[in-house]
Amino acid sequence: MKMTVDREVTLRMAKAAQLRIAPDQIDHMMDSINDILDFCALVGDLDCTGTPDFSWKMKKLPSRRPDAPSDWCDRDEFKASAPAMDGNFFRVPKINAEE
Amino acid sequence: MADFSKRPVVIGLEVHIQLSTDTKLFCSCPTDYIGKEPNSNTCPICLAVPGTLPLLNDRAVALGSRMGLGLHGEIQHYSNFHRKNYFYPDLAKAYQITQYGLTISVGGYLDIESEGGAKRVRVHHLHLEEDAGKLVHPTADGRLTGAAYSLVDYNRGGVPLSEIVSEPDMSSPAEARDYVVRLRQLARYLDVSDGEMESGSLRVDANISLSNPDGSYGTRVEIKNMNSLKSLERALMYEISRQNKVLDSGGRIIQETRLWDDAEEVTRSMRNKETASDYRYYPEMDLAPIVITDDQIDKFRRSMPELPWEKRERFADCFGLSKEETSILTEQKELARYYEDVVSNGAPPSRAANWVRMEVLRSLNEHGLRDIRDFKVRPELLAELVKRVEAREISSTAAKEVLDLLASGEPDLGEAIKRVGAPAGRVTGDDLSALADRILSENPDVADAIRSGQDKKGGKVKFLQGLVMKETKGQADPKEASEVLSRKLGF
Amino acid sequence: MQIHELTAVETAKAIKEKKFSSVEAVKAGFERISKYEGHVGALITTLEEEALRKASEIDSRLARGEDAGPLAGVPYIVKDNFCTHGIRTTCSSRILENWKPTYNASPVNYMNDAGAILMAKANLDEFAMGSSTENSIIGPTKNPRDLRRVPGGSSGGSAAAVAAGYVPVALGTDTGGSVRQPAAFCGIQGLKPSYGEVSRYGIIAYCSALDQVSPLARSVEDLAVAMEILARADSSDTTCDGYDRPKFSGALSTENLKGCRIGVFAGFEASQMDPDLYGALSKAGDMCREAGAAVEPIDLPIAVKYGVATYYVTALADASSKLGCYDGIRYGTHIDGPTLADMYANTRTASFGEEVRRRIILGTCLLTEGFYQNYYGPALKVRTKMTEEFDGIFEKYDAYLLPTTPSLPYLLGTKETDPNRMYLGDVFTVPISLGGLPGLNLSMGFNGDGLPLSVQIVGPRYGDSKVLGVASVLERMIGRPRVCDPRALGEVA
Repeated sequence: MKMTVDREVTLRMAKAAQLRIAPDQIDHMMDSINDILDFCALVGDLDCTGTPDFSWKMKKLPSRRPDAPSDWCDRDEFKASAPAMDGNFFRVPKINAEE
Repeated sequence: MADFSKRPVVIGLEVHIQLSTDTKLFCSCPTDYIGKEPNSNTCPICLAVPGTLPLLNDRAVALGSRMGLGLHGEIQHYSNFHRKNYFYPDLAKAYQITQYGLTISVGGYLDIESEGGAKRVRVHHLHLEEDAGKLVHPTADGRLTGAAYSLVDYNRGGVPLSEIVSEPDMSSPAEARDYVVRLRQLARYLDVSDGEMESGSLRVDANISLSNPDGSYGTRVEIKNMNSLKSLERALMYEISRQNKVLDSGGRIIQETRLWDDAEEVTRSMRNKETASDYRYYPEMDLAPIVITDDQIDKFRRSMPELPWEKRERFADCFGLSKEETSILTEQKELARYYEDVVSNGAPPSRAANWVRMEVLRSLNEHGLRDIRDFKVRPELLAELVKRVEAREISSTAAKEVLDLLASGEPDLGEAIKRVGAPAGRVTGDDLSALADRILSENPDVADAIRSGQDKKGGKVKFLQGLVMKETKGQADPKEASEVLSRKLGF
Repeated sequence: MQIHELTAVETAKAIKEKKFSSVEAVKAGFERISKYEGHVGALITTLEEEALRKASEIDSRLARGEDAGPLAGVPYIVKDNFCTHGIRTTCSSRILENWKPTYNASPVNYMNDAGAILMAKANLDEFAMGSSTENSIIGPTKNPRDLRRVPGGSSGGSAAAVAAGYVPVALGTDTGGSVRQPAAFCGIQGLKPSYGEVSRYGIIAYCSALDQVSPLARSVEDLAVAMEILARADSSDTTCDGYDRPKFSGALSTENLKGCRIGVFAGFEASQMDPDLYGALSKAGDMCREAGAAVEPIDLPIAVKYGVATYYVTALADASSKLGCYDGIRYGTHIDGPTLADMYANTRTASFGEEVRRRIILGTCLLTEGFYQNYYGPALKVRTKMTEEFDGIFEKYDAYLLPTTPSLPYLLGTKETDPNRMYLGDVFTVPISLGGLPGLNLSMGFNGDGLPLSVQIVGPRYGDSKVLGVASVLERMIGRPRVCDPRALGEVA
């Protein structure tokens, strides 16, 4: 079934994706989403009764990882390039504990 | 007090247990994050560094399957992972990898027993998922700098959890508590998890509703943040009376998530997007599916230890123990093992059961020990002590003192008996007679009173008998002592 | 022939035989780069110093008589979405503008272990989202065959570098055509292997379910040798198959196509696509017949009709999730704000380009309750249907010929904005990706205007050797593509 988004849904999607849309760009974004939703609604047209969801088939499944700990030797190099650290912690704006 | 009769209570639980693997679910970082430097148990995979891919821990699959089998679930030959998408700083990838739909174990049940009697709680499924990291919120006067910030530690991020989702089969907080207790016991029996609620390796979320007059389920409320069995019970109690009050006053229950506040003893609405959010689940294509062959399932099955209910039954059958005794002795498999070792070292099962569940548990408690394996009185030693009591070589009273000495570090049984001061062997015949003479001469008033017929109720003789028993550290036969005293007093 | 005109295999052989050194090969490449890069704009980061140092190491090893690997001393380039230890890896995005990974992607390690010398990191559409290499942090890459035109994308930088003779071989990633289409636009060979042949460890994801590391070169032989280096099980990627790979270069000895059954796409009228490309497809069919194959026209109704929509739903949904990790906390660009939501939005809005933001929002939408049931859910099933359609074809045929693209490379800045026409560009590449099949773009010479023609050779899943075999026969018949000196066609004297 073909679906569409309105301005409100467009903004809600942007919020869920942690992106901001400039006020003068909302309509453009909405139209663009609707274009693709319009085109992609095609996927609902094919009768797929009884068809399973897609999944990859493999010739030989790789073995699972053994439960053996290892240390990461490049941690300091990594931390040196992290954008905002406080001691060994990564830092984010204050969040209320209940949030 | 909550009223259970007015509207039947319907409770379902989601229990997360941390699997006792050495490494995280999808990377080789150690799982022992408690007390570690922030972000020291991390690597590119659990920090969601671009280009990295999750690598499933084989042991987590084995432990999840074991727990599934313990719950009588059906281990699935094919299952997979999904992504649960949401942004939060403790979730590095902005999605949690979890099982959804096709899970590792499906169905099963756990038998519980509370004041309402025995009951079977059905299990909907068990699935694997990764834990999130932790946020630290420094206070304005906190030592951590920059009160304007929160801090993120990913040490716990990616630690393996198995979530066990029950059917809504529990109808009281006590049943919910018993379900969790038994689930934890099972996990510990299976070495799947240490199941500590305080440290967070066992976490419970509850769904609770009150049934409508027509019998249909009422609106479900989810309760989170219950960090102990006590808070689980209290939170459910609180919620039952809250919902009853709302309904009594003609109100409506809102489907929501509420947090238990342990200090205030209330549940509070979370009032944020948490409940309203759409996690946009969809299949995780960075991971091969979990394929478990029949051979592997057989292997898991063969490696299953004796389960709590099997052990209870065996203890009752083989040792003739009461329901209460079996239930206490099998609570922890280490204690059950200890008991069995005491018996196999020659102690009579029934007396050994008494000693273990009364004296050993008391002593453990006094020494602040949580694990019987740290108890200094090893099973062989206790068996020897119990045997001597059985042979009446030492009185129960003295033996308890001996046990205390052994538990405090005295390694030698003979030495401990000597230190308690109990005579070796029984005090009888001439020895008992001599002691009776001494007691009478030391208490002439009492003796005279008895002789002059002032002991109609026999209390004074009992007093003297008590002195004899005390002097002999219980090594005399009370009946014989009483007879000897009476004879000497002319009866 | 000059050094820069040689294939990777020829270069390796010449270095081994001491006709010239690896240092000379690297210098020859950088001469091309310094001469043409100002016009082409294929590279985000060049690594001249490191490359020369490594080349001289290889030269000394060879001088000592050591075996330094099958591509010892041969220059190569990777797309800038391959992680390279200590070397800036931007994915053509401001969000990773200054990011230096602490590790190498597995394919980069494999190439280095084979003795190849990494020369540069190539331009791409931001996060590989695009098909023209115009959505880039450094600006558009131009097509060396005609500088007025796009090189295709998203691996446009890698394709342009190979066509312009910077290097004989480059690595790109192909999600829905991102190597085959730029190979077609730049007139070179490119192979998207079967999904699961090559490790994706260290590839910055666009779509986990489709991304595949893919070599580009100017000969089928080079593609086969690259596959022998790249295709192997990797304990860091469990979606990479654990099976023992065949010797891909063995396919090169295929003398003719006798006994082969080859299908040729017959689902389009000549009027539905560029007539020269339509002609190239017919010609490829004729050549197969000439080489002894039984050739039959065959349609691909489900994949052609539903492929693009299925692809968009699959890829955009996955991208919206995969790009959530760019939250400004652990790496990459961070733009602070008073609240967490502000920090997230500041960082992500300013650091992702417009197209990426659009795709993330769209993908978020496609996975949302309600939309999922009408889009993502059905797409998962249509994908199964498509693979069944392919299975049917490969029960009967050894290989399948399709166009790579329905149109010739277009002029810069003229990308179609009508979505229906825009999507049509991917109509022949995305079904192959969705099916996980190997697809090889084979250069078929040029049209009258000097623009490159091509055909796509597709095989069954894990039939990469078969595809290389058919391609090598056809390449011998039509000749392999040559290096070009980048120029604008209109300006040719």
